[in-house]
Amino acid sequence: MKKSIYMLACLTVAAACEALDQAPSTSVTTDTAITGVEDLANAVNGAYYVATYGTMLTVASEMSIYADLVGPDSYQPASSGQNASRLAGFSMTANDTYNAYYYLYAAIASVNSALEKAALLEDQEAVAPYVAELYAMRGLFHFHLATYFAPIPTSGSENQFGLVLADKVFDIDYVGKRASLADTYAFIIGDFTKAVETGLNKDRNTGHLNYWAALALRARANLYAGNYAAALDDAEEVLETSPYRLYTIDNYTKVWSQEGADEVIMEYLQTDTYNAQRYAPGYYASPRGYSEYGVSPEFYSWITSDPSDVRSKMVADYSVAPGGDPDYNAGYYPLKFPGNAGASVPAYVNNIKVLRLSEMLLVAAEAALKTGEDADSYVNALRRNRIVGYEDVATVTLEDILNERRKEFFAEGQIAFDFWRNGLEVANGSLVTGPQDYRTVLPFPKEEIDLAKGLLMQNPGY
Amino acid sequence: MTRLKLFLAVLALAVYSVAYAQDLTVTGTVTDSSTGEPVPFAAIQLKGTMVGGMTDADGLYSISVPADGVLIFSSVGYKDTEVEVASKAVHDVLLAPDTEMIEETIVVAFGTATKESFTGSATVVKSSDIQKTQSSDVTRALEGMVAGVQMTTSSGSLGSSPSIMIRGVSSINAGTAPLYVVDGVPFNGDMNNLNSADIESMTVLKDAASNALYGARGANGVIMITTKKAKLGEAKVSVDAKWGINTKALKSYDYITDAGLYYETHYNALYNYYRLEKGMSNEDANVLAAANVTGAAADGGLGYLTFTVPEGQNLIGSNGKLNPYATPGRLVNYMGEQFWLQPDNWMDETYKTSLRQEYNVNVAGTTGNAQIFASFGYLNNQAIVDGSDMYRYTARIRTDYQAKEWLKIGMNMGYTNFNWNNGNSDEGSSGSVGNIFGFATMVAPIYPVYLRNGDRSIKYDQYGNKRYDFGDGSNAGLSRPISGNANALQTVTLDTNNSEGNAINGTGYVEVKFLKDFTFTFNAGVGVDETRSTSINNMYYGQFAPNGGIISKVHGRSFYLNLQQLLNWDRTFADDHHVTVLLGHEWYKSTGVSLGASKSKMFSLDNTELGGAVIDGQTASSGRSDYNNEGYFLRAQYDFRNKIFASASFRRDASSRFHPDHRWGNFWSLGGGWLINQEPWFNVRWVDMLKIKASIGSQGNDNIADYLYTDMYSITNSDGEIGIKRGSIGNPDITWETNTNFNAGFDFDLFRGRLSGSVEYFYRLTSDMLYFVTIPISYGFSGYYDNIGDMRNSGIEFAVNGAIMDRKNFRWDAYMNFTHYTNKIIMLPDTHKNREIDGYFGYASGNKFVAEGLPLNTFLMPKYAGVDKTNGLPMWYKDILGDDGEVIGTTMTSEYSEATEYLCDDPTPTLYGGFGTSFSFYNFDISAAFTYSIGGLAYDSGYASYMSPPGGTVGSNFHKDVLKAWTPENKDSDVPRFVYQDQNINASSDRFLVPASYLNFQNAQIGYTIPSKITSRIKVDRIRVYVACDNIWYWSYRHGLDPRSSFSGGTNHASNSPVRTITGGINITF
Repeated sequence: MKKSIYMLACLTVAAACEALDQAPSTSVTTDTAITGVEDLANAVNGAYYVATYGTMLTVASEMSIYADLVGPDSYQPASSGQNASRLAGFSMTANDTYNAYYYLYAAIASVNSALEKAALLEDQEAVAPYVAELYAMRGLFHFHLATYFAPIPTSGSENQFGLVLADKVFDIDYVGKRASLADTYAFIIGDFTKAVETGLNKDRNTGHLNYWAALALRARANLYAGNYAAALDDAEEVLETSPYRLYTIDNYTKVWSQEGADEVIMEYLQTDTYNAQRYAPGYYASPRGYSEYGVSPEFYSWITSDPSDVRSKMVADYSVAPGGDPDYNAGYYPLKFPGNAGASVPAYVNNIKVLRLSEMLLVAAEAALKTGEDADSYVNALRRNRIVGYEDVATVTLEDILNERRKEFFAEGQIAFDFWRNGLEVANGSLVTGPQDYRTVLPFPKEEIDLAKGLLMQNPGY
Repeated sequence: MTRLKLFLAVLALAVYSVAYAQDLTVTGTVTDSSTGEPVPFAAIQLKGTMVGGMTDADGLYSISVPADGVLIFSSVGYKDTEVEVASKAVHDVLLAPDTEMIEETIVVAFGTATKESFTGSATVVKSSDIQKTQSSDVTRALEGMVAGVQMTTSSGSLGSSPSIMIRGVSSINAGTAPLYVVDGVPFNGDMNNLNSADIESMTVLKDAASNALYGARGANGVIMITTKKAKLGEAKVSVDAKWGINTKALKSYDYITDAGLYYETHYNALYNYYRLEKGMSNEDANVLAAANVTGAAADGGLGYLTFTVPEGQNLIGSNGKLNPYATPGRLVNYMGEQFWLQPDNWMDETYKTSLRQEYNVNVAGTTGNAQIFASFGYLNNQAIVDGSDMYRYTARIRTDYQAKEWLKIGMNMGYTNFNWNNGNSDEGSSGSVGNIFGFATMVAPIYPVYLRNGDRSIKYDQYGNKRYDFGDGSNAGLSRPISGNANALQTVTLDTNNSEGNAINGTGYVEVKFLKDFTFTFNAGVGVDETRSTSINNMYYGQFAPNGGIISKVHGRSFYLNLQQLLNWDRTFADDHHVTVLLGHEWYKSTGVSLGASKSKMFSLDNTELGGAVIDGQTASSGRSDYNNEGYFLRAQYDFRNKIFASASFRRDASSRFHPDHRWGNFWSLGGGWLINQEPWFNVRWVDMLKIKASIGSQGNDNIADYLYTDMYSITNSDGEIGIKRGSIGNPDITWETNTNFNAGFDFDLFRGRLSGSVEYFYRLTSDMLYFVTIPISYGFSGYYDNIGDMRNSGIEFAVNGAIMDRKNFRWDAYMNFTHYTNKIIMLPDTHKNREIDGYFGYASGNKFVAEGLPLNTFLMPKYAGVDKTNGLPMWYKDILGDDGEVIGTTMTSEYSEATEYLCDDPTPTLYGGFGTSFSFYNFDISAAFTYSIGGLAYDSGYASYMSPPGGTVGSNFHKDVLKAWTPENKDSDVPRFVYQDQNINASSDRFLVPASYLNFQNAQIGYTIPSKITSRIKVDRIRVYVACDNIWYWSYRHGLDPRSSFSGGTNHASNSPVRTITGGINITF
């Protein structure tokens, strides 16, 4: 009997010998995440994914048309109580959840973490293109944030607060402090420079920041920072040597659904399964969607007054609801969100155009104007590709350039910045915002300020 | 003579016996020592064997046993009595009533304890009380029965479970739910998979001495659930059948339900807007408001006119009142189609009375050395709204077999097959257009629910579906400004949200006695729960119509395995010193897997599989999670002459949720008790039992998500390429949250069992709290877990049971318990002290202030200062600050953004508990149970939303209190003005903080047992018929407010809890 007891005891005790170590099934731990160059490619992809994550108030949703919503040609055919009309009405507060702030910094953290790992990899030659792209990404993500949460240096704003610069993987007890505005733009330009200096990545790479994107973004950043000569140099290099081609009068109306269209240097990719859904700009700009982003009747008459300009075809008169349909929000709408080719819900799925070649013409024109050089050739070059039977002009003014920007880049998230950075007021009906108006800069998220032990200052006015 | 005949007949049927060659037939009568009445069906066991029998209906018995044997007589409600046969053929036995019958045995960690020797804190709830509750979740029966236990129910959906908290909230970020242990094995499944009819008892363990051996997960208390087993004696068959109806028990707020009055009220909001905000004359304001009240939402109108008004007249007259010639309902010809528009009562259309049926059969008996219990149950319950119902089959078999003198084995297996439909998946979400409860309480009474033909009949579509008004223009072209393009009442009937599956939970044990004092026990517990859920959004109406309907399927399987090796040593030295030692090892493993996918464009709603839809949603995914836990433990117990008790325990535990370097934790307890009444010098006649007890110890809590100790990247689809994104940052240093518990108190039995109870003091200190540390956003992550912060809960519990009257045919019992405790955060990390209020340092979290020295969940909000009599605007208090930011005074402001936020007390009740009573009178029995809570605050968000004027939303319900609003003609009102577009009228402030006190009539039951003299003629032991009712009535501060839904002071009027159930049933035992 004793024997059987002991056998039984051994059997039952031995039943429990599995390890306590457990690994997650759908994630990888940091140790195993980036161990080779291929993993670095994955990390780059992941950072783009994160940057546009979060659905509401991201660079793929309302924030992609933020500068249009607060711009001179903004109009809200309906108010569905969503964030686009709140942005347009300057009614955002520090308590709002700015997913752009959260996810851009999350993406930057991914970038910094990948840069840290990349430095440890053996094949530095293979690593170099990724490192260049990562720097360009860090620059662009900071640049987005700077335009939303800080004034533009050339605007003349008294507010000289810049961003919290996420230049490395932070320690856990790190506390965010705001850099000065000058340091912020120097950092952004510096990151683009790091990307450009390698001389790598010159091929077209849809949805990714290559050499040309970094160079063009540096041109834009230099223009915003008031470094006009540098902006002109960069813009010229892109115009002269990049593989991108201007849209033409013939193809202009057809390119908006294309991925990797002729002019597009950088776009955030949106797919059937990954998009901002109802918060996508396309849904806001649909008379059957939220309809919180249309163009003003004045803008509509102005841009359509010259039918020889192909851009007049990029707005629609939906001011009469078909059959008196009460669900139809009548108004004038931009037509730049037709849906990516093959998208199942076109209003949801439109790649976010971050950078197009024609912007370089207008950057060059403005920079040339401000450095006393000839600006008309750039504007003429653009208009020749837009206006049937265009005849060159001999001189252009800043007002001409800004008006050209209104026509060329409406619905692409730039126009209010262009006015403010030139120290100009944006007048939209009775709503006038000058660059000194505190509302031209969004409030820093309260969560960030609350955790900063008083080191982080809110933008004045909030 | 007849008596003898009956005796012989019953004897033949009722007595089971095993004869031995040398046996003696012993006969006799078993009687109650206090009343002299015979004790029917008392169990008789031959000591040391499984041989036994029982008495008949008249207390008579006959049993064949060895002449030198010892018989044990037992019956529920009586103390066991041992009788030596001593070759005597007749033994008349007196059984003494057991005054401690409620708490005879306490199921503790890895064993049982007698009430007397137990030094910890525990409360037992018996099956007789469990059976009073008509719920699929057995834990609901604990409500109000156990001091220290707080329970909230946020959902009334079928299959929802209450949240349980024992002795206060112990953690900010880690879980606060107790551990459930079923038949000795930690239970990981859905409590709804246990049939409450199979449960013998539930024991709630509350202190360290009882929990420390569950060191790993015992910090929040342990609920030990014991399933039924066969009693010695003849087989018993018990059949219970009940049929009931469910109705809505949640009260509605006192909002305007009359359509005409609603139009008037909305008109007034517009009228006041035009005259007060737009400066119009009263006459002009009247004309414009009357014109706009039923007009477009953009002009502040309701969008619908559902009254017929004589040609050329307005709905609202120049006196601001409803046109007396206006009649409800209006015929409209729109685009060549006739529509009848009428105001509907959304509540009436939403709720219905539904049927509940439950059948339970169990058979329990003993044969030779084996005991068998088997049961089968069927429950079918319909919800009080459309689209929701459930059925559940349960089966259980339990066997215990004394294979050898030294070897006992047993097995207990439960099986459940379930199928739940919960058409309303968004319960509690007030903004969700898919939440029928939110919809019904929100949409104004002027709007139609249905599309109707000109003859007032409801329209049907070509598929045979009733047409509901989605407010999207389909009803005569009208747009409903509130919840447009939605109608949850239709969605709930067309959409599907189903879960069906199987759960198996089994335990087995081997118990080996050896070397006289040793017992080795091996326990194994295993559970599998596999659930297949289907979610369908219909293709006909609503948000997903453009997608052609969406179907998603998820299959999940959870599995757990628990192995325990226990070595017990039990010895008495020198007759006085009794020592037991337990040495044990436990291994627990739990695994969850899931697999899911979705598709859109469905062929038909009847085809509920992915194969019936054509467009892949590209959401296919699967996942797996693992959690393991291992512990070694030791427990020693000592008693001296059964009057002084001491116990000590130690457990070393490991959890896979922590880094290998911080995985192990040590937990311990010490306990002592002194039975004063056992002392020779103690001679108080009316005290039957008096015990002083105290315990202290520590337990751990690892109730956080898996893998938080390591940084993680997750894999994403970045436009068809692999993307890895940083998911979370881990903290390798995290380890167990520790809960140190002190408990001290008295247990007493007085007046020969007429009054019993206990008083206990407790102090729970949570240290190294598992705390989610938020970090600046610019770090790129929201935060990480760390062990920082301390919190304590301390209080007293009091419970008493009394037999107020105990006569031959009349018995009256009552019980009552209360608990008082306070909660305080003792230490917070410095990183989280970004704000100081009234000398407290902490941080704001929503409308709460989390700070050192304050209770968790302390409200932080502006304080309401009443109505500004000059303009009717609400005012709030505001601090006046001096030059250095110091407070030098207080003023009032109507600018909400300028109002100062103040600390406003917390939701912790001052006193909570339950009380109840039961009578038995001849063959009738009646019982009633109540729960209550006194003190603490709740935020009445329902009232706040009903009090807000139209503006941002138009067309939602108004509370009748808005009729008393300030107007230039009614300047003394304490209700702010009711003006269209006014902001902040209902802004968060202590105006909506109300006492969370409630009194709840939980359950009542009335039963009648047919006299056994009648039933025994048809060979039935017992027939009882009864009527029971759950959730009968409750009282709270305001009609409609239900403070029982949250521990943290939130309330929710968009949910559906509780449900009232009235049941009639019959219980037959034979």
